[in-house]
Amino acid sequence: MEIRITSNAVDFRVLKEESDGVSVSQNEGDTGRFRVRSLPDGTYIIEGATGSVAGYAVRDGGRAWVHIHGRTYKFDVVRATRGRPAAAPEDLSSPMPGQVQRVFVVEGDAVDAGQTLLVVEAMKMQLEIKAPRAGTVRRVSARQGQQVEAGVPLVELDEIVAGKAGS
Amino acid sequence: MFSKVLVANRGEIALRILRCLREMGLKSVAIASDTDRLAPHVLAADEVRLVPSYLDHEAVIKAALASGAEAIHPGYGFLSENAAFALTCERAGLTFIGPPADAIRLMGSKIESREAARKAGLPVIPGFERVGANESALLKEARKLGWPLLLKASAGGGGKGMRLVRSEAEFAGALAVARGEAEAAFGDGSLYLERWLERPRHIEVQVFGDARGKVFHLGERECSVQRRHQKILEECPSVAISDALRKKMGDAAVQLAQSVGYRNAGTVEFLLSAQGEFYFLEMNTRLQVEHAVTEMVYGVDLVKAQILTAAGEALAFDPLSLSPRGHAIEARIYAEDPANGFLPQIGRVLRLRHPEQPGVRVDSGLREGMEISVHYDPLLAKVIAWAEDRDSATVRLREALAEFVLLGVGNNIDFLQDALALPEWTSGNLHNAFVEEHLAEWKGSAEPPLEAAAMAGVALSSASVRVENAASGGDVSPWTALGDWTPLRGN
Repeated sequence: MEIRITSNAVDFRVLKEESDGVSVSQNEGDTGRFRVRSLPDGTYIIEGATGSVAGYAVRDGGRAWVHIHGRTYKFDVVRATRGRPAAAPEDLSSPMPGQVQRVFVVEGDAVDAGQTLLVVEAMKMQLEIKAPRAGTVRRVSARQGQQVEAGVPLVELDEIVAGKAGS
Repeated sequence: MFSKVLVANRGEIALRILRCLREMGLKSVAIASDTDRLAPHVLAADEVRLVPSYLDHEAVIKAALASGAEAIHPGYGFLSENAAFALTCERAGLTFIGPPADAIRLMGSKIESREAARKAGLPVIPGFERVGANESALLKEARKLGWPLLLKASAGGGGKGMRLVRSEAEFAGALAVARGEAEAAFGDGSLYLERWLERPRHIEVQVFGDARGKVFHLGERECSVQRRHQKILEECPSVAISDALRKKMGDAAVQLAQSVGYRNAGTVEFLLSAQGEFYFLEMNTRLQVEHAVTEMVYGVDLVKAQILTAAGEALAFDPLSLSPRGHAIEARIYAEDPANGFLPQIGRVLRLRHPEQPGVRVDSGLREGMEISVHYDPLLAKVIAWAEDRDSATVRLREALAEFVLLGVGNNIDFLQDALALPEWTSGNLHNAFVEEHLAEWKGSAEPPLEAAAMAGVALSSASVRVENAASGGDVSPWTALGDWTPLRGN
């Protein structure tokens, strides 16, 4: 069984062979063969050509967390739909669940790059959602006091307004 | 001595205090919010009382009285610097393990504490403070002080309600955000202005007032390495402090504490300019998050000292014969993404292994299977390394962090390792812009090795340890959370 996984924009193909054998190839890069065994306490033992090393790995749905050589890596399964951007860039969404504390803009406002559009409170922190570039506010879907989930668009920005560009 | 003490906190600090109570042979009571029913601190206590919130004065007092506790240890955060709560304890016949309510109130107001420091002869940072100053008054004074400057919440702490204002254009926006944050966090939106010092060090002095009113200090801690005005690396002693300067700053801190009738543990924070001048910043009237580095170098137990003092008893050590030894460094592990503006992270702890090395202390509130939610502070654990000298302590701490396995929740462990590997850390060239200057471009660990991909492939072809409905990171009650979780088996 072969799966394709990605971590920090680096893609790998992993092929599980008979018993504990695993072949790995990095796209346009190195390849390697290992024996990977997982122990009941969660430890993984990886035997390669030059010796053995212990680490930890755990699956979280379509993601695997790995700890090896003192570092943590996240790998995601590459899905068929990959290549399509996750969200349109002009959608400004809350990075995490929280409550909308303040909304500074209304529809039609011209905004500068870096201008604070709204403030979301999460984990006792006030997170300022800023305009990534100059533009006009097309839509404000956030209301003050509203509880929001991560990834829900709060403000939509239009294309750059000629007069504002470069200001 | 008390026979039973209630710990009004959660997470690593609640565990720290509960373990101390057990060592002292005292019974303990934990409090828990509904989502914390099975949290590690609850299981470490002799009994537990549910409260609607860790900030609910009345519920906490009721829990203490109902359980027969005679004293309350507030830890840090939550009710620890709340003068009204300390007073309510007193009126209910409970001992608040901390300073007198008057000292908390005075030092809790940044504006009044600056005045108290000035009176005690301490240098303070030039600024503007007037209770109830409105936006136009603040702006007028801001223009006089000049840009950039710091806008700070009078009731503030931990970087909340604080904003650096670089120019007048940013003033109104920063004021609104700082005020909102201060109101949300402290219920008090008063702000004041302070001149921005260029790249100062953050040095703080641990002070202590014993039961007989004798105040002494236990040297300094340097906590210059901060992100978003919150400390991430702390050490004792500081490379910037000579014996003469330690005496000078220590005496100043003791003088301030004495002048306000201080008892129990407290910390006087200073900024130390590049020119070697120090200024009073604030006084924290509680146990500090980073108290462990002082404990390791001075060989004392500050929590035990707090409890003994609150009970009116003598300390277990003689303050006059303390001899600091070696060097200790603490790293704070946060649920945050250092490659993305230190945004708080949530999720479930899927794999957890604490480091085990000689000279390493781990104060952790973590347990495998627990959910890290948006409800509480993202501080997860602290790793403290002691060694004979700073270089050895640095290496030891890096090794301990490399051994710390925390999978399932995004965290700053790799970032902390890289911070400790910087030549500027090694040379001790620290200041409060250290992270912005040297680590702003940090984008996570380098390319994963092939072994990591092989392990990920194997893990992904095995059964998931986590049910899909919890994958959204939504709020899951610990009852169902524990039921859902099954250990990963080989293949």
